[in-house]
Amino acid sequence: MKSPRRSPVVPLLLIAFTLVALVLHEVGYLQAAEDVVLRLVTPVQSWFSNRARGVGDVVQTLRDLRTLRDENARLRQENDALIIENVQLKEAEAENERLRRLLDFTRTNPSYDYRGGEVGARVIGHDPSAYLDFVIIDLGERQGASLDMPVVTERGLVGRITEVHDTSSEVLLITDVNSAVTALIQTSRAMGVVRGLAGGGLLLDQVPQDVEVHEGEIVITSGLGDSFPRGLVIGQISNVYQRDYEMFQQARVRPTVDFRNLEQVLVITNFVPIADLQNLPEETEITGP
Amino acid sequence: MPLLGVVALLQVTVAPQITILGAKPDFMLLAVVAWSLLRGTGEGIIWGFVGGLCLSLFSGGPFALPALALIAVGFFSGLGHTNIYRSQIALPLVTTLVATLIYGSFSLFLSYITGHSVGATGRSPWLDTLLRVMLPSMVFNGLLIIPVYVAFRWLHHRTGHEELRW
Repeated sequence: MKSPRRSPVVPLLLIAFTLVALVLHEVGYLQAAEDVVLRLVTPVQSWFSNRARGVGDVVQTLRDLRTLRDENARLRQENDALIIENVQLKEAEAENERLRRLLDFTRTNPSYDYRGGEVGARVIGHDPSAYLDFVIIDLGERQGASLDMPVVTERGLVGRITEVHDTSSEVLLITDVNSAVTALIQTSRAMGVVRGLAGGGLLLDQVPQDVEVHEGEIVITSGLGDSFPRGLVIGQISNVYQRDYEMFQQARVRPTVDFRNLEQVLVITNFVPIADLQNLPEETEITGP
Repeated sequence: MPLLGVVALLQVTVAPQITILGAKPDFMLLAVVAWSLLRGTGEGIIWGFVGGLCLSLFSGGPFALPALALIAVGFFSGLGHTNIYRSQIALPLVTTLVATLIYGSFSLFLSYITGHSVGATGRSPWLDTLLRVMLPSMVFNGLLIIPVYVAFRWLHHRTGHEELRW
């Protein structure tokens, strides 16, 4: 028998194979093979995922033994619900006037409405590391999912679809380090960009220095320049980092969505980003209000 | 090897349910560390390779990145195979702490060079990630390696010390 230490060829071959696979994946040559594997794995993964929730429930029960934590969780949930209700009311009030003016416009251009087309999907897998944040949902091309579709829950923005397979899709969460969502602070209407942080969490960046940012303020999507409808709740400011020598100020944002316990999500299938609206064919020309 | 498939499924389905302080257990990392300590670098590298590919397939994430990081972990952990302290609990513990650091650093570095940003606050993102993600993961994995190592040592004896042939 040959000792492994005397044969560096096999480890080198494995590393070379892995590197080649990595490159092929990045250029998209493995897409078909990955689709086949995922189609086979998805039912198994779905079964495991359902059982795993049982494990999660046991862990949660142990945690709930601590009354204080339980109470805290209840209050947070109540607070989140109130925040969402408050945001919706304020947004409704602010939009009421604008919607009145846009009424004729929406009647003649019904496709401009981005609310419909929601499709329910179950989360059947999470990323294996603590460094990237995405989930797998059991909704693929067959069910009408496609790239860049926004994903939400009743609590707010979850992310967008970054990879579509036959019967499943990969959703990049807004807490992923590669995610960037243009956002605005609801009260001051100051614009910024919400980025994900490694290990979870959100950071509101590029907020102008002359804006007063306070803890507890609500951050919502601005709907400008990216793939998300405007007015979706992202979270609540928990810490403000303001330094006079910086060009912008930053703030930590506590998401309203509980990303650790994502089970059901909604995929908005008919939202058209602003950039795409500008490329509509002439016969669907949009007229102003 | 089917065991690695099960571990990968546990990693993508069960692990996210038991997150503590932002850290979740790295079942695959623990499996690779334990097996490498018991069987050496040769099998450690193969476990890292197969385990990493299983993770990629089940998670749909960046393909082959976990495999590269786990190959490094398998190689490093396998170096402890011939260590005279292998029977003591300190060796798997220390190996796991360092392996978690290696895995995290590799994952971040490979993500970075394949176009994924490291993120964080923009001032010292690597340090920020180290403090907020890697340290809690090190503690979590350090606690879990003891039962995992005991279980794999049982498996190691059951499978009769067989070594893989190239």
